[in-house]
Amino acid sequence: MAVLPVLTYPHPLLKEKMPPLSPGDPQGPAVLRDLVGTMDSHPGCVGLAAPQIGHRIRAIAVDVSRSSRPCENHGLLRLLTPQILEASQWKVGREGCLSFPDLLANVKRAQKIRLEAFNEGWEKLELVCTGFEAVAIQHEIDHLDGILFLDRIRSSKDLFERRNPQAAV
Amino acid sequence: MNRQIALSAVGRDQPGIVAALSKVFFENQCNLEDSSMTRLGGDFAILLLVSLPGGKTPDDLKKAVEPVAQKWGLTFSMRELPEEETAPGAPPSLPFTLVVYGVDHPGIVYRVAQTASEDKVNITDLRTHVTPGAQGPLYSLVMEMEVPGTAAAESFGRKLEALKKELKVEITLKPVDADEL
Repeated sequence: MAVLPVLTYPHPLLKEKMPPLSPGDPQGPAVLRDLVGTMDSHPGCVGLAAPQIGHRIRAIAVDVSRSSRPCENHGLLRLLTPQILEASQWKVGREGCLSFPDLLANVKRAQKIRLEAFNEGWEKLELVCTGFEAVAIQHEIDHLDGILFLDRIRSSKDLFERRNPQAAV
Repeated sequence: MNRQIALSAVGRDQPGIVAALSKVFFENQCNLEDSSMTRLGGDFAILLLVSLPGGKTPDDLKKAVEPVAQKWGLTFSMRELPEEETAPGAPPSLPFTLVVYGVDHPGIVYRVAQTASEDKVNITDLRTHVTPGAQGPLYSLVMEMEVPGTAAAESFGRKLEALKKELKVEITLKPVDADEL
């Protein structure tokens, strides 16, 4: 497990689509360990995607139980090749991103998603996530496709400067 | 239709500016209509439309605003909208949102706005932010715009693709998808 620097925009990897990952590839679990180690070093961080720490693979870690706001959650999720199967209950909420430490944006996300992925042992999972956990997973999966939260802004009133950048999640 | 006044004012930001100005409108029975007020750097900028009650003239309002502007250090200007500007009847158009972000350099707003004007795309709202970045300040720009039709939207979209490379920025143009509830 390593603590890696979090890449910030305009690092070109953040705008790249991550290639497919073959089931069983040992690189997957190794990157998940780095994601968790790096998340641990950023208090308040509830999710990270592999390209944010310089790995060109489809892996994310999400743990919204670390958030100060109580919400339904599955604890620490380590997900390889996550894929959303169904999304519903769309709502606009305010998000931040460690790759843009000084900005916040209002983004429309599904409040309920059903997804499939592999865990750190390359076992297949199917999960239903709701609320903030669903939002965090969509934000991280977007990173795997080179989509950043600013790309999802819908109005000129949806972008804000963060007053205290230390609180980036 | 009541007479409408466009007012702009700017001055050093401090608590109480909005209260002082809106008190003038309230006491003079002026109706505050569209408005946009925001902090820019250390200044507070105000743009608004007020409608005058019957019997009041633009000069009456100007006299009422002047002492308040002076007290709060606001530079202001006022203009009565001619009737043709207040009447509804704008041609139909398609609403779009444009997001541009990248490392700051001169000319981003100019090149984007120039390209929009070539296709008669009207910018109706524009916000920009400059925030710190690893390779120099990050410039982000969000515009709301009215596009005259689908052909103009396609032409503008193609030009934006070229502009992305020229300006080395990210650009997203999306139709506004209103939620029907």
